[in-house]
Amino acid sequence: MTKLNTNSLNPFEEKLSLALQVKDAPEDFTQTLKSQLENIPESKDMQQNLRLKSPKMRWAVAGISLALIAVIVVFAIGPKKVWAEISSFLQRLPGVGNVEDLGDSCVLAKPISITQEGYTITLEALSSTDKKSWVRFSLDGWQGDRDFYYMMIREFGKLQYNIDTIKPQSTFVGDIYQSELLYLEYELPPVCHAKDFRLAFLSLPASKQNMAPEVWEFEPKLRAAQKEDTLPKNDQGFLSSEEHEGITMQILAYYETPKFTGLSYRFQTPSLRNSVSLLGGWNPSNPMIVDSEGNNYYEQDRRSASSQYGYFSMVNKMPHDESFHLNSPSMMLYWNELDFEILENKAPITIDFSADFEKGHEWKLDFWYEYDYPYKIYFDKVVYRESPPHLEVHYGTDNDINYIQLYCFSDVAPLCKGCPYSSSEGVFRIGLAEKPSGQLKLGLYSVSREIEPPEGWTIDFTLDELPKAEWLPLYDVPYIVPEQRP
Amino acid sequence: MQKAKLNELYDEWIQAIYRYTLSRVKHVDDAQDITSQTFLSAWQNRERYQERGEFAAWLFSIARNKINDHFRQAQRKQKRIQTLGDDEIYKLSAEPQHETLIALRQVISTLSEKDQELIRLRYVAGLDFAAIAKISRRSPAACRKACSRLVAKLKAHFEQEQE
Repeated sequence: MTKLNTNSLNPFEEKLSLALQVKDAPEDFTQTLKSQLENIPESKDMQQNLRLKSPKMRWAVAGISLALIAVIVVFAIGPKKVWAEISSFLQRLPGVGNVEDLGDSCVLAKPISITQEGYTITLEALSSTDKKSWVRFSLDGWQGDRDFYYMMIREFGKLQYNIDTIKPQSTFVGDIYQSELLYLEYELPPVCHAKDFRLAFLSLPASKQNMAPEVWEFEPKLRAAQKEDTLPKNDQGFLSSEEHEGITMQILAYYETPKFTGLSYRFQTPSLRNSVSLLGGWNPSNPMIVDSEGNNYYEQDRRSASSQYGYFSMVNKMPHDESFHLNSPSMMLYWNELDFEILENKAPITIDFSADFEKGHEWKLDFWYEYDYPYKIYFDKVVYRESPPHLEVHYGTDNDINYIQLYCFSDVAPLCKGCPYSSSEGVFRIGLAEKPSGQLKLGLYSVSREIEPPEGWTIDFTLDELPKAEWLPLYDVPYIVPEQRP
Repeated sequence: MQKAKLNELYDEWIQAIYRYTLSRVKHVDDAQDITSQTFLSAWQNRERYQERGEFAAWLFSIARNKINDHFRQAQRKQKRIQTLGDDEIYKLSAEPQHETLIALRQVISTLSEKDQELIRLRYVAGLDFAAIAKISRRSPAACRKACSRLVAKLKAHFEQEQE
């Protein structure tokens, strides 16, 4: 039942309804629109990066957990298998995702910490099925140049599954670090039935110069996975903000460690040619996460998974019984045409220099060029100047564009000196090698706009409304085709 | 989604979407334009929609975004939004009720935009609290309570004005 039951209104409410009763839509309008809608063809396959139906906004039942999406992205499972998995009973173990039979799985019985070289590495979590394993370490207490050291660990800290073999058998999955802790996650072969199971970092850099590095060797004890080890089912979709200028902010999932909460969020853009970057610094941070009392959960670390696909923030531990407000006040929206063939074929400006012309000569353009509706640029004219030879491209816009870049294609090469050109003042200046001849095309390469809607992008949420991710957010968050504009 | 189902949904919601839009933009041409955009957008993306029971909330969310775009574009272009007179927007009522209803509309217009929106969704669009909750991302109980308080406040204010 979605409609108001008018029989339930009291007399004053009936008066309200009457007072606000606007005229109906005319019949010719509704019939015409209906005919137009009937002619809309079935929408094209929207399974671009993902190859299944897109997750939906929060208040629609998604039926697809982030875990499945992540599995698809990593392992490229086809749509039939995905839907088969959705229909079966799903249990999720941290790090390995869906498990059909817990009996084939095992987890770490107890975390193991080793302190040497002046810092501590802890084997915090491990899950394993008959197909694969996942392990998470944390590194704490390193006193030196953390950024450099963490980079070294990522590059050289190969995790050995079986230290008698030479080649490491682990696959580095991801990491995240805050001011004090580094988390490292790896994938391994199945280990539940491994004999003499050990994990070792053999090549971490030594903390002291001229010293041989220590070996970090862990002997994990494993136990059978229980229901208590599994993660709650996620049948919510993403949480979404309202749309502004075709951009929607979405919270995808949260991730928990003993000390921190990670929030995976992203900005859905109008098309794959768009990307966004957040404006503003860390204090005040953009976006900001505050609780109901206005306490700011400062970002300890923000990773741009990909400015096109998403961000990830690690913040202080967020309680489950608290409500939060995520707000992003502004951002820069970029539009790029990166396919140079399209860039040249769709170049909006073509100038033919075959006829004689002198300095000051103008080629009148006078047209609007639309790129990914509703954005438009008005190209006014091109003027040839000398001393040194160059072209001025005069343009205007119908929205707040920060800068535009054009790309020069010429059949007289090299004619243009340096590409692409950018401008934010309504006039491009394109340097020329000499007085031009032949033909020149100018393609629209990039546009950027700073967007600051009145209240920004906001989402109110609690952690329990979000999907819980099994591992650190992947760098490949699926792109969802936005609703098409007419 | 099957065409027959789409037609059924269209017939069910076209007037509610139009009335809601008209009550906000107060211009017939703009309301028709935005209503068209709303349904076109929804139809082109119907594959993304699964749950019929929440279709209204989805549709109204699209409409709200289109309306917000409309106001934003006008603001960007520093265009003054043309609106029509009440006689061209609202249904006429017989006297003496007509004057009463005009007075009530004036009282409603003094509410905050958020409160006016709740009133519109409830009494213009004719949505129940479950649908309003989905659109406004609050619980149905919170929407019911807010609406009840608002109506009581309006009633008290209106009766005071009438004395």
